[in-house]
Amino acid sequence: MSKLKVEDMSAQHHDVLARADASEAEAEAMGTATRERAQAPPKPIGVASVAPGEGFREIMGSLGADIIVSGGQTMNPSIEDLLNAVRAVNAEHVILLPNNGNVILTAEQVDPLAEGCEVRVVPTRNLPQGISALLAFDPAASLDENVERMLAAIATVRAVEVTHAVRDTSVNGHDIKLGDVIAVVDDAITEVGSDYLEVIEAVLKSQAIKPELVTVYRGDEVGVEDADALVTSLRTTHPETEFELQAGGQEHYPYVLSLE
Amino acid sequence: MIHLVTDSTSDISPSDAQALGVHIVPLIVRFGEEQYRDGVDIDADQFYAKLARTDVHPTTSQPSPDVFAALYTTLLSSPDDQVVGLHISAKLSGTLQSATLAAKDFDPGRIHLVDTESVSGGLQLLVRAALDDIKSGDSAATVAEKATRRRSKVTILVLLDTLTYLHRGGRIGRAQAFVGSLLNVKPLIAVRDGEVVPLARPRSRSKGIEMIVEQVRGCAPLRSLAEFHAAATESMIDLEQRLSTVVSNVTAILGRIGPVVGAYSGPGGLGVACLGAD
Repeated sequence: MSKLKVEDMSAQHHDVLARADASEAEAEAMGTATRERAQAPPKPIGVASVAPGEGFREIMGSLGADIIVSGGQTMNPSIEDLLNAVRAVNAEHVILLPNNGNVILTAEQVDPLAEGCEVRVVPTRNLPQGISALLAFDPAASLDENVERMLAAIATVRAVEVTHAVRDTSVNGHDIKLGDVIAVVDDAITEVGSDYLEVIEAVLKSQAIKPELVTVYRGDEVGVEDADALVTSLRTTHPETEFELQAGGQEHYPYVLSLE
Repeated sequence: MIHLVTDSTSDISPSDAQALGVHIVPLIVRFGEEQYRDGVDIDADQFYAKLARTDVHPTTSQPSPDVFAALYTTLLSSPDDQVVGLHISAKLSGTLQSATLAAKDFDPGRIHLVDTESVSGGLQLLVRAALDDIKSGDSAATVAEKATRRRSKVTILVLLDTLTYLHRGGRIGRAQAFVGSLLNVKPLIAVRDGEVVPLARPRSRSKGIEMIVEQVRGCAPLRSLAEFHAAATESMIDLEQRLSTVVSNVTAILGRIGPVVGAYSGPGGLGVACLGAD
């Protein structure tokens, strides 16, 4: 497991994914991984991050997360899942990124249980915040410094989660019908419409400051061609903004956008 | 007379070198079998044009000791001649090693070599500061000593389009941690203690420039400032405009990242070097 220290980041990246798969597959496998890793001296600082979808997991691994815990909107990880992940990082200090508002409280209960390791939760409420936090991570910096950098980074990103209404309801003055496309911006439903493009356009139009970069994460139910067409259309109407399309692979949210 | 010698990684243009009276020893840049002396057989424009046309990754090598020996022989023709040599970080290049080997055949008191732990704009600022020292009448030994002391006051920041060139060229150092990102990032690196270190991973060039400006602001008070680009003129204009609002007391030296350094920064690289006041 000393592979984590090898120079080839892509090998490390695959190692991360392999371990993430192990964690998902069975608890026993994770137990084995933990024991193997425990033999190597712990590194000073590491990151465990929660993410749904293969795409997000790969991206987070590529940005330096040591381990990715599967989890998301309807499959929140347990304290034990998070604790096992933190132990598997094998570091003196572990930064835990919940990446979902519903996971933050669970994540905060891990530190007292993680003997011999200090766990700090950076309260990322969504995946774009999680990515921003990881981009700010510096393995050479101290725990406090990293937490500070991450908190500053997540303040500069706006998350837009696009999904379908699961029932008729009325929220924030919007009458929402089952199946409507809704956009949740920083935890609040702000736009309702009949298709993705319409709703995303409405969100972009409502921004007081035009975003410089929009990263579009395509969910598992959206095809590449549809996502390409959506982004092409957005580029035409917003020539001053840079758009980047990534496969997020998340469930329930056909599109997650990060506005910077 | 004290002669100042540096190498082509200082990115001092030939016309500036002549005006300043600095002797520049070229490193070598290669595309496969083709070999060019940096700044002599190939300039920045030709290099980036060639880089855009070829799939061959450029490599570089240090000047041979013979080149230094020939220059030292010419410069030390009178008994009162002395040489101060300021060179690229020994952790990044074997150039200083070649110079040191060549110097062994001369009176050790007449050649003073300094590992500036720097490169490009940073090296250039140290060279220009040393020229001021020579003008003000310092001895060769003092000039070298001051340059050695000053190197810790140099900050070099480079915003890259990609880490590919640094990675392939084997100079990536701790910025290795930035390799492999699946997201499009513009890595911001620094040269610290002669080595490349990672600073930040801004998602856009504009954000990266903002970070550079913040870092430079933190370096005040400045003695001098240099801004360099690798085929990224527009970005440098943007940087210069933003920097001029935070640094008003010094005039920035604007230049190009030359072929040898450009083989590691890659096209699109944008660099700033600043030297803190003595």
